Amino acid sequence: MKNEEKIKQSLEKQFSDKIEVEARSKQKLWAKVDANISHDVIKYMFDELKFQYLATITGTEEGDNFEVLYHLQADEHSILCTLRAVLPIKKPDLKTITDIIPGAIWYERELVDMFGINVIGLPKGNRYPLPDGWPKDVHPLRKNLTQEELSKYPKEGK
Amino acid sequence: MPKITVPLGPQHPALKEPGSFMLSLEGEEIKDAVLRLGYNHRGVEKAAEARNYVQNIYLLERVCGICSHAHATAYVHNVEEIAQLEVPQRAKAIRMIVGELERLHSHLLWLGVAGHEIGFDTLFMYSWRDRELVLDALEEISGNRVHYSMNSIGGVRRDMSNEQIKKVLGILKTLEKRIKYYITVGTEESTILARTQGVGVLPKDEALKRCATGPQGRASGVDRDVRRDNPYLLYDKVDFKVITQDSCDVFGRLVVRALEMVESCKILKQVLENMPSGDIAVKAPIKIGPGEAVNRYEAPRGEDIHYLKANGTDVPARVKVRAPTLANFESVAYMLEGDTLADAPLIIAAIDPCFSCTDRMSLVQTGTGKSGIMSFKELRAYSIEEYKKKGIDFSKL
Amino acid sequence: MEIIKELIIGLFYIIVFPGLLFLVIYGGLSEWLDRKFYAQMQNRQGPPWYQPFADIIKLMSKQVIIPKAADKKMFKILPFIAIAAINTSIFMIPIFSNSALYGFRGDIIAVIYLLSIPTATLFLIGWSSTSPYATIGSMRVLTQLFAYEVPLLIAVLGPCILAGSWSIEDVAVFFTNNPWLMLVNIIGFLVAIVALQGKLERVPFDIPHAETEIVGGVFTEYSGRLYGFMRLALDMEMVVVAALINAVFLGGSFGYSGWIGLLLFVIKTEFVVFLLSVLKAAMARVKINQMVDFCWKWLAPFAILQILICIVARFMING
Repeated sequence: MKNEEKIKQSLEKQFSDKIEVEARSKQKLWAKVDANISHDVIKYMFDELKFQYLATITGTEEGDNFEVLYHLQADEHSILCTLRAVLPIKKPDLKTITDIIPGAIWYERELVDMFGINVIGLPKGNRYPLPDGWPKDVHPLRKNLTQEELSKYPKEGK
Repeated sequence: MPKITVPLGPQHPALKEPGSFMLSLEGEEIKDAVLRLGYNHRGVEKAAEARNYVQNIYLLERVCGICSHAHATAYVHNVEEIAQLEVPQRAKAIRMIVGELERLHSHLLWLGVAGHEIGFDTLFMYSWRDRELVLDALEEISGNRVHYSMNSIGGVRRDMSNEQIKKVLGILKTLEKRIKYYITVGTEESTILARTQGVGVLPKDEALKRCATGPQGRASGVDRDVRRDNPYLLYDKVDFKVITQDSCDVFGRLVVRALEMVESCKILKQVLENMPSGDIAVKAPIKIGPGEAVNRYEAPRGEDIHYLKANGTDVPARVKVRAPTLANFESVAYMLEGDTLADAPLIIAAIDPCFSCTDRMSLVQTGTGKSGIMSFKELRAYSIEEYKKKGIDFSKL
Repeated sequence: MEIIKELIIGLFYIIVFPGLLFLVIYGGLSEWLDRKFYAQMQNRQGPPWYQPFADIIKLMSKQVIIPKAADKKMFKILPFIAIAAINTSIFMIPIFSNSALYGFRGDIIAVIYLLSIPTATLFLIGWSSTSPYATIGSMRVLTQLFAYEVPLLIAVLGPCILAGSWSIEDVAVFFTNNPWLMLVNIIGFLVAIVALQGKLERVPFDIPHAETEIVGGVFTEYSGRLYGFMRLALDMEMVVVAALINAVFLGGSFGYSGWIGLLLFVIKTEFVVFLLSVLKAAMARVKINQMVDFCWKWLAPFAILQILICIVARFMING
């Protein structure tokens, strides 16, 4: 757990009380920050802590908040750090990380389509994964979207 | 020379599953590629939230037809981590055997598809014939050829008898010979070399930036393999090499996959010859959690990552699946630009794409608000309109 | 009466033998053999003998869809032009015996020209279909034509120089009388076989309709009867070129005629088909630029070398 502790300490030193870091098991770190500094944290991790790889981004809904989970990996010792960025559902603004790691683009588009998170600075392009005709305000992975809710919308070909 | 826009997909002989690549051509050279995904959205993640933990094993197995064991195993790892179950060694070994056989069958399938994309149908027929051997072995172990359904929470569902072990070892012996032959063909046949070398180049720094994974990344010198870096199952007890190549092209990917098959055979032999004894499963609770877990699994196509959030009930609160194709997809546009149209199918095939893995969700088609069944004319008008937006005019046809 | 009799005989030549009917039947059987060889080499069963005919019959009964933007007249007429050109060329090639139906001095040049008409129709077919796949296909057809045609022509001229005649009949008779001299042409024979692979658009040179790249290539928009005729034309072309290779490189019927001549013809043309199948099974499709490079860097020089060998051999024969 030595390497995990090292990363934990340097993260806590840099962001002091704004970040909660926990080394739960071997090679796995869990961190929690507010969405408005998540970009800075990821930038710091990539620039200073030798993180190189973004495995994916998971969106979840927890009470009144969205939680966006960045699964980041440092190739050295292969440590997987799950960085949790918390943002309110009422104002779901998130800064894009495509300027740090371009490979994030598809995962961020998924956040936009599936949760309605407003990713600021996302490069223009096709939607993913929903089709162009899909209504802009319906987000399939939101907990409040049930089958009954969906059936209110007119189906294609009906 | 005027530019021609060629739609490669969503329906195209080169693609076994729908995905769209709009290629702007100048002569034969690709100047620009616009990618589009999402044609295969089935709503797996949303559906998983409405099913219990056992049902979800079978649902997630159906995320992909080829790496079905990979998805199911990654999922049960998560459940077992949250429920703090200690899986018996023998169950781990059986999971590993199925996983490695699956890798063999996926790589042989890829070899055939790659051969077909470059018009080498003989290679396609041969490698798929030998893939049958692997499927026979899988059928022997699990009773199924494709969706093995071996996993249960806390272990596996079927044990392996000594006869089965002997039979699989026999199949491996034949396979090893055949794989050696394919390595010779793939690395020496002059037309294959002409078609693969220097095609679809993805330098290491680009591969890192675009988060390439699996054989795609390893062929660009990105030395990552979850089996070695973050060993799960019994991978820390077996001896194998992680294959990397520095050529960064399709040829490198071919070599990586071919040599990985040899390594898989090596792993399989070690496990089959030293099968641990004991139970094959422990009892699992129905209600799991609360808690969360994230686990990775080295699927044949690259790293699979699953996230699971449990809230103490018998259904999960959130299941997230990221299949390797989505991670590798961002590199495709980069690799296509500057190559010729003839290379495009091979470059796309070289990431071993599995779009149905990648797109996992879609519920109801909404939006146009039209009533009645679409007639052919309407459908045609609709498609012409759609393609006009993409810059191709089919209205005169 | 005399005129009517001649007319009937003429029609018999055109429609039955050695014209349309013979070409269709023998073309279908050759296609079957080709597919069977190919399948056996790939560890497969292969189709039954009537498969090519069943395919054609099925296609004939299907609806023809012509794209609105296509040039309708051209679209409909082009397959028949291809068939007509191939049908004409068989009259100048000896089949069961060493004499052709309408042989004349210089007919070898005429045959080569007639055989490039189907290729030209392929280009026009793609161009008049106006779909992006067909357009790219037709550009590839033309590029490929300029690559393989020169080596093929030079390779076929070798035996003519050796025999000292520009008539296919005379070449066949020459090799019948001097069978050992066929060995002189071995390089030219191989060059011709490879170039034919380009002419017949088969792997490794099936670039104009590479299905994984441009769907059906020039045929993308073709359907039903018209597509059936186009496939028929390609089958017939295979027979004609096999017959040409037989007459020019393999000594025709060795002076036999009748049943033995027929047997020799079948064995030798199917041997050519077999060679074409081996090439098809053993290789991957190359790219168009690689194909052009190969034709000009390797095939053309070897064909010229063959011509030089033939000229030297000619002087040695004449002493």
